Amino acid sequence: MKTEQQLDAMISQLAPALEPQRDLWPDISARLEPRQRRGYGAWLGVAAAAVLTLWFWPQQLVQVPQLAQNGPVAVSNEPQVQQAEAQVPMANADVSLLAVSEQLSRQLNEEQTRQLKALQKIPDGFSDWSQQIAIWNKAQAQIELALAFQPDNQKLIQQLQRLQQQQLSYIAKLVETSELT
Amino acid sequence: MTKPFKLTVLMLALLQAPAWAAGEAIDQSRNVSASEKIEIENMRGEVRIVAVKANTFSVKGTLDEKAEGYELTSENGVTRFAVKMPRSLYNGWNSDKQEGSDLTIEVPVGSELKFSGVNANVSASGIEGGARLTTVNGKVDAEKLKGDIALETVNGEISSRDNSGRIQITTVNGQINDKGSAGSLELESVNGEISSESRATEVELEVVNGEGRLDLTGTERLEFSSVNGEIRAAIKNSKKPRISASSVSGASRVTLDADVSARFDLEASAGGDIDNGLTADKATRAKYGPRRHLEFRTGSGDGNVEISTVSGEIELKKH
Repeated sequence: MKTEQQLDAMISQLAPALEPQRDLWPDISARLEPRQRRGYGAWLGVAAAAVLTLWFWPQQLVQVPQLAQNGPVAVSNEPQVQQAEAQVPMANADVSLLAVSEQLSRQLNEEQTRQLKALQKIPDGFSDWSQQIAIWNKAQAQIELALAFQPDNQKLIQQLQRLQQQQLSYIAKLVETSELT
Repeated sequence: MTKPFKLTVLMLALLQAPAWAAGEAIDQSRNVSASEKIEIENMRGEVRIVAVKANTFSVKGTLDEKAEGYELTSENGVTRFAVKMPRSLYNGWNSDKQEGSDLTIEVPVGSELKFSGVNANVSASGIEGGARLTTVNGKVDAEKLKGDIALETVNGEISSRDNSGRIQITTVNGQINDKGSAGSLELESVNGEISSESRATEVELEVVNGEGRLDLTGTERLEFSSVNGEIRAAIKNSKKPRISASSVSGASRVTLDADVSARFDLEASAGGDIDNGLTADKATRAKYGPRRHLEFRTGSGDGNVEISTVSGEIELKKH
């Protein structure tokens, strides 16, 4: 069995780069299916995702602070709103709307998590809220990964929107229950 | 036992009395319209609401031992009954169901009911003008209701039997058991299990981690989604169903009539499985990437079945 030093020595003798013996691209190119043009439908879905996220963003920021009022930390929302507004020109600057939507969603989650952690009393049935949020985040990450392979897939975009909406509804319910009990 | 000792015991018992003593008794009734809007608010305890043929509203039983009286008003077709609770109790009360009101309320069959509670169990039956029953920590039991029906709890079981109309049932952690529903049905849970035996023509189900089991008859449109949970849906007497379903890593298992006529579009985006037990068609794998896809048609393709998953399972079976 070779020691690590021996292996390192052998590796150091290898050429730092390896070139193929012939140009492989023509063969790959011939096997590729013609790339489909992205239809308007796909862009509409992507736009809807961004609009939905932007739509829910300010609403959520209004809801969650109601929770935080009784908590130890009162959080101002203005910077987040400005941050959200600052994202809109990015979309105009030829940045994928979906990417913006995803980024906003992540920021929203971080903000939600931070403010929920500030709650003094979590109502019955929500003690595992952070695991629950983690489940949604994990599921969203899976969909985003699938979207990396199929960026035009409407079903995936809709599924992502649905999860974001579920997550928001869950937090809204947590807030409502917290106020009732 | 000596006299002073007896006296001490008696005094101690009296001091402890509010903890276990029953609340104030109530026996009230009002003449109301046949289609009265009825609003009931009771934070803790047990409330049974039953429909009667007479145009009267009546409430009998005992109020919450911590109650500061009650409010009963009836005007302009709206009757409102609320058990008044001290504000201090809104925070930190426990969920011991032995505490709280114990009430039986009668309302006209055609009335429209709205009930809200917190640590309360509620049951309602026979009301035909619509009903909205909401609690937080408690059970909801609804039977033979008609119209717009909303049943909601956070922690507790929801039982729905023979309800018809536009039915919405929502829970976070509780279990939902629906039987004999008709009309349109929406079921939603985050962690709880859902089971339904329904004749509803339109059914929607949404779970995150919970499981769903649907035994449907004559359903024309079915939509369901899950994140991690498993959903089993069996539909009978539906020759051209419209089904739309999605999951992330959960399983979607659908059983259809053997002679179903529909176009099928099944897709697993990233590592999921597709098992077609309806025809001999097999899913194909994308040339590049982990996607699997299966499209086929049965009969003249009148219905439409679209099921997608990211990394879960899709299974089709026939009765």
